[in-house]
Parts: sequence; C-alpha cells; structure tokens
Amino acid sequence: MRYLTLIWFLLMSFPILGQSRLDKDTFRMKEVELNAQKKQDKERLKTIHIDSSLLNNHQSETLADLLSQSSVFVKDYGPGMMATPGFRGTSYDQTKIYWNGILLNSSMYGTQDLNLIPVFLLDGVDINFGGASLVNGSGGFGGSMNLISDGKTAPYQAELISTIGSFGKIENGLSVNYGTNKIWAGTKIYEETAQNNFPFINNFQWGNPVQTENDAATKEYGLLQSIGWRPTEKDMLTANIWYQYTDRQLPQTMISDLNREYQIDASLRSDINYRHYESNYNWGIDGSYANEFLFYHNELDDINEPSTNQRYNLKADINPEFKLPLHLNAGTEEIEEVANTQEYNGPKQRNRLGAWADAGYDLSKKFQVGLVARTEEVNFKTLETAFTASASYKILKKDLLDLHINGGRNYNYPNLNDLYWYPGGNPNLQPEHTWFGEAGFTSDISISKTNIIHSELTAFSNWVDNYILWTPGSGSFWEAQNLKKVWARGMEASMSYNHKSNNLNYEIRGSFQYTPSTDQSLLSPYDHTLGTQLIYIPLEAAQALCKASFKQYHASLEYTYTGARNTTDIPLPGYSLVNIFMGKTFRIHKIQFDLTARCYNLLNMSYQAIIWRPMPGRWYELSLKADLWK
Amino acid sequence: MEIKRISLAVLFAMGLLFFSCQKTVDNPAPSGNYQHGVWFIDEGLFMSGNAGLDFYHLDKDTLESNVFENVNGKPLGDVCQCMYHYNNKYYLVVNASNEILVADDKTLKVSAVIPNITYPRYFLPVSSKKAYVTDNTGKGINIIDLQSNTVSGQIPYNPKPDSAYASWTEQMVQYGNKVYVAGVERGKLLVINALTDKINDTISLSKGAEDVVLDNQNRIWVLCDGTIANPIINSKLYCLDTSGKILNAYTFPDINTGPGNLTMNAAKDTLFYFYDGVFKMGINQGTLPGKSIISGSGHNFYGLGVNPSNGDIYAGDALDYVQPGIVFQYNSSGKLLKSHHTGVEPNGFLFVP
Repeated sequence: MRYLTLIWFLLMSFPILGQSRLDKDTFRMKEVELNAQKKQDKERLKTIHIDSSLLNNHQSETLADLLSQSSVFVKDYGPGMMATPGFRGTSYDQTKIYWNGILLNSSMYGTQDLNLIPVFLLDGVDINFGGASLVNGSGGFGGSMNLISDGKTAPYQAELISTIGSFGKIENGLSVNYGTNKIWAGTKIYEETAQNNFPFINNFQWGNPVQTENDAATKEYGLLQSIGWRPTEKDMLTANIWYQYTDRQLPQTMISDLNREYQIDASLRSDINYRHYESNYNWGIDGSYANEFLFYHNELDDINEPSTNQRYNLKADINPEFKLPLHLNAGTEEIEEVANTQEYNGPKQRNRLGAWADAGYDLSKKFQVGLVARTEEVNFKTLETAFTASASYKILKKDLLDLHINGGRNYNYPNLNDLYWYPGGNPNLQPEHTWFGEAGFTSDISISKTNIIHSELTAFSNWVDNYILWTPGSGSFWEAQNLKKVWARGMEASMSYNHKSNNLNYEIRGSFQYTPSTDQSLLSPYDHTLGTQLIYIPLEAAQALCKASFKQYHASLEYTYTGARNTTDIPLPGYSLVNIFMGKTFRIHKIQFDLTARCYNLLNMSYQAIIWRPMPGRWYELSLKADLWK
Repeated sequence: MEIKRISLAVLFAMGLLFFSCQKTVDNPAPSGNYQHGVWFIDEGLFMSGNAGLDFYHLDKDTLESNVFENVNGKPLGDVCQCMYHYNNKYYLVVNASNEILVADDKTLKVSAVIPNITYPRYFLPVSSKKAYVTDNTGKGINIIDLQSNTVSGQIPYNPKPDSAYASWTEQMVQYGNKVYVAGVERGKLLVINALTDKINDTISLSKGAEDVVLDNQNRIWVLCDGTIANPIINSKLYCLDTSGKILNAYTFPDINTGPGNLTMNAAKDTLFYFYDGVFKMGINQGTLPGKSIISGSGHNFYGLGVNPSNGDIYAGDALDYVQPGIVFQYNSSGKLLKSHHTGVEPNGFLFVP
C-alpha cells in the first residue's frame, strides 16, 4: 500500500501542476462517440453492455466472477486458477476477448485467463453474441467480449477502494480521472493478495477428510494508464497502457497433493489511437503492442518453462456519412504474432492481413438490414472470409416487440501451440469453420414511467467443422488434427423488471440458457460419443438477480444455477450458488463512502466446477470505497 | 396485453426448464466373487480420477463393471498403471494418485494404502518381504516393505545429465537374485542385486526401453519405443541372456510407429506386442513378423493380455482416450470372439485362473 500511495502522488502531481482549475464541466468528451457504428448494429445483432454502474458491484472480483452471473459459461478451475469463457456451447478458443478492440487471446494458447482480468480496471464490458462478434474480429464462434477502459468515462474523480475477505484476501485500488477538455488522463492501480486456503471435504480420499486448500496463494498488481488529447475540435489522440503481474501457486487436485506448481504471468498491453472528425465522415488509425510473458514451474516433472508471446497490431478505419439511411464502417488491419517456447524449436511468427466492412441500411423506420464482412490473409497465403447478414423488424411500436435475425459464416485460426508444439503440433492444420444462425425477439413494456419489463428470447445454431482435436498418434504422443464436427444450438431467454423512483430503485432479473452442444463426428467405428453433449458444457444454466437501493442503502441477491456437465465418464452434478451483497453510502465532509459487505456461496454449497477441483464454501468480503470530490 | 402473455409464457418456460429433474445413478451391489475371470484395468484419463476395475466372470460370461468403487465406496484413483497378484493380495499401482493400494484378493476390499510414491509405474515382489516399484521421476527404484506396507528405501538411479525423466524406469523381471529394470529415457537395462539392493550393471540399449519379459529359455526381451526419443528413432526389440549379453536386436521399419505392450503366452515361447495391430512372434524367430494377426485399423489399442489358460488375446481399445473404451477378445489366432464395454483407457489385464 505504501508503494501505491507513492505512485499515486507521483502520477497526480503532473496534471495538478499543469492546470489551474479542474471543473466537471470541462468534460464533454462523451459527445464524441467512438463506437458510433456499433449502435446501428444493436438492433440486428445481440449485444449486452455492462456499464460502469453495474461493474461497481463487482469491483473486488475478477472478470471470471463477474461473468459467472451472466449467460456466458465460465470454466473455472478454482480461486486463483485458470478460468476460460465459453459462449453458446463453443470452446474457449472460439471465444474472443478484446480490450478496447485489441485481441487479448494468446496466440499460443488461444484463450485469455479471465482470472487475470480484475473488474476494477474496467469501465465497461460489451458482450457480443454469435454473429455480433464479427464486428470486432473473426473466430468468436459463440461470441466475443470487448473490455473497455476509458479514462474519460467520468468527470474529475478519484476513488479509493479497499477490500478484505476470507482466506487472506486483501485488495487495494486507486482510480483517478483528471484533466481538461483538451487533455485528460485516467489512472488505475491495484494490488491483491490472497491465500485461498479454504477448507473443503475431500471426497476423493479415504475417510472423506476435511482438508485445507494448500499452495493456492496469489499475488498480483496492475497499472492502467489512459491519456487523451484533443488538439482541435476535429482531432483526438488517445493512448492506453496496461501492465499486470501475477504470481500464483497452482493448487493440486483432490486426488494427490504431492506436486508443487506455480506460474508467473506478466503482461504489457499498449494502444495508441488517432481519430479525425469531419462533418460527413471520420477516420482513425490505431496501433497496439502486447507482450505476454509466462513462466511455469512443476516440481515433480522438473519443468521450468518460460514462454513469450507478442502481438503487433495496426489498423485504420473510416466512417463515412451518407444522405441515404446507410451506415458504413470499413477498415483494414495487420497483425503480426511472434511467440517462443522451448517446445517450438525456435520462435514462430504469423502475419495476418485483413479488411472489413460493417454496413447497415434502414429500409424503413421499422425495417433494417445489415452486413458485416471480413476477409483475412495469413502469411500471405491462405485467404479466409467471414460474414454476418442481419435484419431487424419492429413489429410493434415503442419497442413493444422487435424481431431480429442473422446468420453467416466464421473462421478461427489454429493457435500456435496447435501448429508448432513439439511433439504433436501440426503445421498443416486448417482453420476451424462455422455456419451459424440466430433469431429472436426483444420486448420492452413500460407499465408506467418508472416500471419497465424487458424480455428477450433468442434461438441459435452453430455448425462447427474442422474442429481441432488432439488425438493419439501412431507414436507415443498426441497430435493436433482437424477431426471433429460439433453442433452447438439452443435458446436464451431473459426477463427483467425495473422500477425507478426518487428514493427506491429496484430490479428483478432472470435468465435461462438451454445449450445442447453435441459431438457430430464418428472418429472410429466404435466411437460412442456421437450425439453426446461435449464435456464441461452444461445443458442448462440460469441466473437471477434482485437488486434494490433505498435512500443510502443498497442490497442485491444473486443466484446462479449451473446444470450437470459431462466430464469423461463421471458426470458432475449441477449446483446452485447464492451471493448476497448489502451496503450503505454515507458522506464525511466532501468524501462519499460506500461500505459493502458481501457473502458468497451463502448456502455453503460443496461443489466442483471442474472435476476434483475443490471450490470454497461460504465466504465473506468487506469493501470500503471512498469517492473523493463526488 | 398480448406481449404480457408472451412474457409470462417465457418466464413460465424458464421456470419449467430451470427446475427440471436430475438423474441419479445407483451403483449395483458387488458380486463379491472374483475367483475365476479376468480383471480389466481401466487406467482412466490423467487428472480425471476415473481409473477403475472391471471383472469379466469367465464362468458366467458376464462383465461386472467398476468393481473397485462398488466394493470400496471410493474411486480407485488417478491413472491405475498396473495390478499385481501376490501372496493373496492385489497391489494396485495408481500412478497419478502417487500411491499403491493393497486389497484382499477375494473381496477387493482395500486393507492398506502405501502413499507418497512419486508417479509409481510397475510393482515386482522380489522376496516375501520386499518389492520394487519403478516410477517416472523419482530418481530411483522404490523399495517397499511388504510387512508394514511402507516405503523402506530407494535404489538410487539418477543418470546425468539430469532431467525430469532421466530416471524414468518401467517394467521389471526377476531371474534368481537379479532384477532387470527398463530405464526408458536413457535406453538402459539396469541389473539390480535383490540381496543388496544395488545396481550392479547397466546395459546400453535403445531409447524408449519400456517392456521387459523373460522367456522359457531364461532370455530377457526388451522392447524399446523409439517414438519417445527426441528426435524420434526407429524402435527396437532386444533379446539378451541373463549376463546382459545382447543375443539379437530387431529394428522396426516404420520410424513413426511405436511398438508396445510386450507380453507372452503361458508357455513363454511366443511374444505378443502392438505395432499398430497385434503381432505374434516365436522366441526363436529370426526376424520380426511382417504381418499382424489382428489389424489395428480403426482401433487405438492400448492394453494387451494373453489368457494363460486358453491363449485368448485381450486387446483394450482406448478409442479417443477420453470416452470409455472397449476390450476386444480374440482367440489365439486372432479371430474376434466378443467385445466388452469397459471404463476409460483399458490398459492391461490380470488373469485369475
């Protein structure tokens, strides 16, 4: 905390010295909507936006914890361990995660660990389902997420948050926005330690002993700095840099506790963006660089494995405006990926050069059509194309009933481990492909000005071909091959009821997903997995939320149900979790405080998300947040 | 109002699905009679804790599945590497659980657990009081005190240069007071004096030495899987006398295919092994057989056994190594007799006469 305070003062001193007056009114940058194009897609493509007010409830959590309350399925190995997302019955590397439009999925492993992304550093999250993922990039068969860091989301603001929790959790974070309408900056810095030494019943061992999770401690810190400069009314330059370091022990399974493992992740992500606005068009260029370092230690197997993974990204786009009701965003992008580990026999490189267009046309006030198309060339050889064609129609006025439909094709390049890992990597792998379709309706019923019922129902289907699978080869090792076919389909339903009045606000929300995701390939005449549900994908999942605030008090109750999942031959039973949060805001002088107590797994459920990986029972957390100058 | 009805219907549908029932599985009662038949060892998928044992009742021609868990009320563990019958007890070597379970040979009830052995592989009693256990990374061969069921010592084996699997040892055979141990990573055959627990000799073979058997002429056969080496090399089969002299060395033609699961018939005059399919070779044959007796096409053969009472060949097919496997039962000339659905990765067999 001492270091945080020091860095905080250093960072603060620059803008304070450089300006004479700080005023809320100087922040008008929200008028410039960088993602204007996305708005026009929203009617036709399914997107959920989690804004900063919703994130406030979860600021001490990771993105994995946050998403477990959503319809995105998170495969979580336990506190401090890896957690990967899966949309609509597809696999983790068919889900893409972006940060301000920059791809975060590792080019080596194909995924991004959600437990390494603290909610505290985010200002918003866009969850794009199915074809909506093509707006950001290719490969998100089930969907994608765009994490938003935006130094100008709030006027001059400083926020300090401290959290203590069960099992040795301590988290401290500082968030500051500062500047003028010409130049502004946002700084977020945090540190967290946790022992994760929770008790659990080990039903794998003789006598079902109560044991304590060993060697699960984590230590991490991060810094996110955003700056912006608006030299003229027509020009804007923004830059972000995010450094994060995590040192974590990897606990053993309930089966055996003989081994010792740990992992260090150090990530540096940076991005610079310039945008120019004219009355009838705007254009921008964006350059980014990411460096992900990972070190893995395994005591019994005597593994000490460093790996590095770098990605350079350059893109440019233009948004022309037309007299016709036509919306267009088009651009080009080049990505250079370089990765190295001792199993590659030398560094490996991949170049991806692509272009995209995202167009929408309003045939009438009720009827919209659109097309998102991408094409990409890899290493100047293979050419792949992806598209989503979409339409929406307002059947009833005032959003009482809107229909949307979309469908298309997508591709997902193999990750570099699939291609080059020795032994078993296969340089001849082809990209995975999917044909997808989606249809649904949304409905907003305003019972009164303060009471709204929102409902959604969506059905979807993904037929995935060339699915990459590691299978036993003729030698003693496994090989990556394009073998499998998967059909992921299902429905998503949700309903919410909102009430807003002067003193009392409340929301009741429920959602449900039914996702058959089945193996459609026959790998041998004796294969009996044909038509069976893929492992670790629940057929059914549901979430519910009751949230209320009355004067200075607020409370929420979260409920999640994860249905039974196949593993190999042992099915994992479904489980329900209930979390309850209660808090109060109060003011001392000019500082507004929020004291929130949280209880996770209120019913003290004993459950496993991954087989033989224990999860904590009931545990508690207390957060104190101070908003300075609010 | 119509929309309200639609919304209510959606809510109702969600509720119905949400509260849908869960299936429960009842395990059948164990028969308790395991005196005549074949144990199928289901290794299970690493890190999944789903190893198991099935018993094929030869007299009733029925398969009793998942016997260990049904008898003991606990899963067997993670990666059951092998099972050994000695002195009215079964010794179950559970590799990734890092333990050996000792069970009664009539009921399969576990009577002792020998814990904290690093990735144990194979078990061989060398006297009435002690046994040797090989392992993946433990820097030596473990000595087990069969009276107290504890690890009483270790025979150091830590070849230089050091690496994770430099000390990896696999199968063993005993001849007199000599125990021959396959050293995989360095391609050695270690000769241990069972009286002194010391390595007396180290014979250089080919990388990937895994399987060792003793024929009826007291010759030692060692199968070396070259696909384990980095870079891969041609696999080899060696025949040695008990002094360690190499009598014959056979080279497998396809560098990309690794042989495995060397075993013998009851007379110990015929070798069987996988090389994609199942091959059969007389111990006095001058060359490797060119044709399999059982085709490997469409199979991922993983476990091999020959019933000493009638010569039937049992081949475990691991399919994709994730889903439950199948054991195919053939007669001694390779004609398919029947198939049995097993647990995950059937890797071996123990015949109970």
